[in-house]
Amino acid sequence: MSFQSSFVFADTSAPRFPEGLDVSKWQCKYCVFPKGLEGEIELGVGIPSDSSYKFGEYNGLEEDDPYAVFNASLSYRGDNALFYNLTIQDLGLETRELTLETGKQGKYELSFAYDKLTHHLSDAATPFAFSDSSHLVLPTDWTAIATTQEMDEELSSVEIKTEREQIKVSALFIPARSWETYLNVKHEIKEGNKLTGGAFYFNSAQLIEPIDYVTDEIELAATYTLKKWQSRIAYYGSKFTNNTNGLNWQNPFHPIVDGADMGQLALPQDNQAHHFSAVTGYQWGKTRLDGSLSVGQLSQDATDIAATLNSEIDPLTNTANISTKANTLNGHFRVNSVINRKFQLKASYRQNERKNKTESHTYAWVSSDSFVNAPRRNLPYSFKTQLSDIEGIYRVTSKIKLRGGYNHEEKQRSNQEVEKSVEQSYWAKLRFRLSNIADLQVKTVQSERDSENYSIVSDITPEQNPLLRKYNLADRDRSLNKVSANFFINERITIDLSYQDIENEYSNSLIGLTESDEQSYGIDFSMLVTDSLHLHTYVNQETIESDQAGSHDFSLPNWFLTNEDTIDTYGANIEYRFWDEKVKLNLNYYESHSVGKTLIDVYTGTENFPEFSTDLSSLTLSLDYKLSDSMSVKLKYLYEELEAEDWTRDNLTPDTLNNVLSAGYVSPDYDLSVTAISFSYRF
Amino acid sequence: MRHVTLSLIVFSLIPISLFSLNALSAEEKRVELPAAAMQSVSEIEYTRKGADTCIKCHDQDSEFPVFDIFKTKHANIGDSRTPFSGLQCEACHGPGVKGIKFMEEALEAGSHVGRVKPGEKRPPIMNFGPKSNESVEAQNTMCLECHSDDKHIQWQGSPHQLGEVACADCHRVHTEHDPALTKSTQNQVCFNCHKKERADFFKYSNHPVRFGEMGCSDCHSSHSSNNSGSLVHATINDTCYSCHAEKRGPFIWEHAPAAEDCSLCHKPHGSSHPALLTKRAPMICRDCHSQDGHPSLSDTPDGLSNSNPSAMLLGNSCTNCHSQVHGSNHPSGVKMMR
Repeated sequence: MSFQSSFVFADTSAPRFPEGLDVSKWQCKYCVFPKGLEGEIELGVGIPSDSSYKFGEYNGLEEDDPYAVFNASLSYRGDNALFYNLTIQDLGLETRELTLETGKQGKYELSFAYDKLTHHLSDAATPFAFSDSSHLVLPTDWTAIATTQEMDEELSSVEIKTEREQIKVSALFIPARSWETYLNVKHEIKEGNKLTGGAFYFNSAQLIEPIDYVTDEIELAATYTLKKWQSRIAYYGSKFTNNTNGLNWQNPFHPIVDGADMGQLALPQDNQAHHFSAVTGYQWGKTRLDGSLSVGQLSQDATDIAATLNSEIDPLTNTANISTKANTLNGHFRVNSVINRKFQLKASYRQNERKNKTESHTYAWVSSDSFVNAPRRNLPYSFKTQLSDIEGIYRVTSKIKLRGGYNHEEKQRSNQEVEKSVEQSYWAKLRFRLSNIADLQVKTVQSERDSENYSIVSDITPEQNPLLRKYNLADRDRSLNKVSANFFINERITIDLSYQDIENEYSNSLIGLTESDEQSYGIDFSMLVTDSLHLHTYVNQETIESDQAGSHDFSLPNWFLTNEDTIDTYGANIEYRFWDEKVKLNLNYYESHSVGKTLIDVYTGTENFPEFSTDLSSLTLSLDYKLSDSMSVKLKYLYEELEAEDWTRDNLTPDTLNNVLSAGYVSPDYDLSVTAISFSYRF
Repeated sequence: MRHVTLSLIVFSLIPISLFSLNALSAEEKRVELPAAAMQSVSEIEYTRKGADTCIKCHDQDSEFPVFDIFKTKHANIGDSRTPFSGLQCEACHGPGVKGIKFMEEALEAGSHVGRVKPGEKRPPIMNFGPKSNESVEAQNTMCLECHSDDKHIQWQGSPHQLGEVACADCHRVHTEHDPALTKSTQNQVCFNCHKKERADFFKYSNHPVRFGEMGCSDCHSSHSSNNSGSLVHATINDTCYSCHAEKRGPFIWEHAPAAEDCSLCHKPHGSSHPALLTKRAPMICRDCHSQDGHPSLSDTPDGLSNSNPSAMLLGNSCTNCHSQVHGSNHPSGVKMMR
């Protein structure tokens, strides 16, 4: 039985024409429908001048070795809408991608995709080594230390990096006109490591945590589409598997109690998510109704990790084999009606709910494998958000449009300081469009969030300062103001200006986050200098400020801290085609500079911490020289420099901190280039 | 110095450009596209030879070349749903000859396919994009004639629809590879309007969008979903879990803000702080933790001195010990230390 004959496909042989239209002379004899194999293959070589983990964070260029440039895009068109597409990108790099598609358009389509993504985080130094995938051990001659300065062992360097490989298989079947069915399957493997911390009371060590994850996803969907009514039902399932559920490590320090010489960190446990959803929309005259409903469940397998590895402590009961579960419900309904040419009204309701069904019990527990603590109850958190909003749009004239609305958001939480908070927002937006000359927009949003009965959660010990208000639960006044202007000077020149300010005031928070302000502005200038020369430049500046207060003696606020981050971004892009369009030049330049200031006001006076800073500059020059209609030579030159200063980590050697055996860190500081030349053949 | 130079270039160009401002005519654009245009030939008139009429002028050397459309799905004649298996160019651009009632300008000036005198501008046909002579709603109505499928169920009333974004503002139909549908180029399409986000992705810590390894549509549904922020999944956390499933739990010992909303601590578009954090530890932690003892201490720059470096400030600060900030499954993980 052939593949096609096992399905009933839509009839795609009868295109629809307006009644009475004579198309006998619509021969399309000048149409150039592709037939057979076509495509483009690019081959070449690239050479980085230097290496840096940060430069190669995502782009696969972390080494200074030459690499092959290999990109391809091939397509085959056959009879009856048969097609094959093959796309290969960056085959010579670790970030390679491949996509293969086939099918008969309008009947079925199949695709296979492979995608690899790398993430280089840092280089590290550690005395630990893996004896197996879940055990970190110290050298056999390691002598327990009181402080890191006593350490005299040689450390091994480790690359902190993850690699993510994805395989996606997708299928689309059209069994009949108006119906479409989808199947999407994704298999992902993520391997590598990351840094984590493992403590024994007041001593800690940075550890290399293994990452050995497998995630499988499946989505099944069926859609039914009519002119006025569209619907979709779907199932989404995701299964996460971690091949290492715990990480044991040797205590490099003198144990503070007998037996505290081995610790175990719980790593992410196997979990699953399942969602069933339905979405529908109906057009009723000038009114659009649409809604969706999704029910689901998150669950995590039971853990088999013991409360402690300390054999001197009596085994605790009721601490293993705890499985967890949460049910989710997400719904939305919206009505959007064009009342008349002047007035449009939209109203919607959304509910997002996560009901944690995990059992809450009181457990005895061991503090860092050293001391049995007073029993504690686990707090399964549930959340429910209900958002109602209404919006009116009024076209004052053909040039002026006024929008305004009201949002009412109610949040409910369990086991937290606030059970219910309500945020009301009023907003207005004015748009003035002067035909093809200018488009001006002004928007303001004023919000007020009130939280009922902020009270300390008694389960949490030690107790929080009663004057603290957590910023996501606290009373808050928010003001957002935004202005943008787009000027179309003429057909060749545009200028875009924008400004935005978001202020948050936590007026009843004596301790915690008390105030924050985010301002940004941007300018874009674009000019088509000639038909073959295009220039685009831009500037963006952002300032993020926040104030917090604390009390070092668990009373009234007596220290105050201000954070201020400033980020400046500049960029320019030039596209130029010359020599009868044979040469295409593209220059892309950008800079991003950030400065982070921290100031603390305490009883000893006001003091500034050192500044955080990052300075990134990047220039890419691409030259594409067309040798003939089918052949071209491509030259690419990338120069990039980055310098970062981070006082929390710079010059932090493993023995800098007495009680933390750190893995060391060096802020990136590089300037390097990548030169690539390739030959492209199009057929 | 470099910043100053660039700023000078930008600001010096602005007044020059403003000086050349010329007022274009403020013609009215139609809000609606009459349904008759698509359904009746009694009031409208198509060309006698269909696409052949158009291609005679719109070849590769013309101002508006069209041939790349034949490499796209719109021109697959084996699929009866496509324009080229039906009304060809006129399926989208409307009937090409005279008597087109919904093209007032064409009625006044004559047919788009008719003769024009030397020096005269050819009357427009229905066109798309920022320079279209049609309203955004009229343009989009034409696209939705065919694309009112499940991917656009929630288009009406969505932020892009209410913001009057035309389909052709983002999509290019006469191109072999539409930049909006290609992961490595999609971000440039979105950044045309979302300029603050463009700057965010240049920050020190970011998702790999500017490297083309991730597309905006991995997280956002540009045709709108019913979800907050037009996210592809129901909540922010569900969207994050689609790549970071290890943080999904539910953990035995949950960290409440992590379970509620990842964006309480992380800025998904980019941050000048590591791991996309809104700010560094211990500052970010002390916005919520003020228990008696070390959580509420006022660490000062004294803690950076060579003689007395503080683990509360250096390295990973609070997470030097409380490393399981997304939640713990350890029976003794209540303090996020196991």
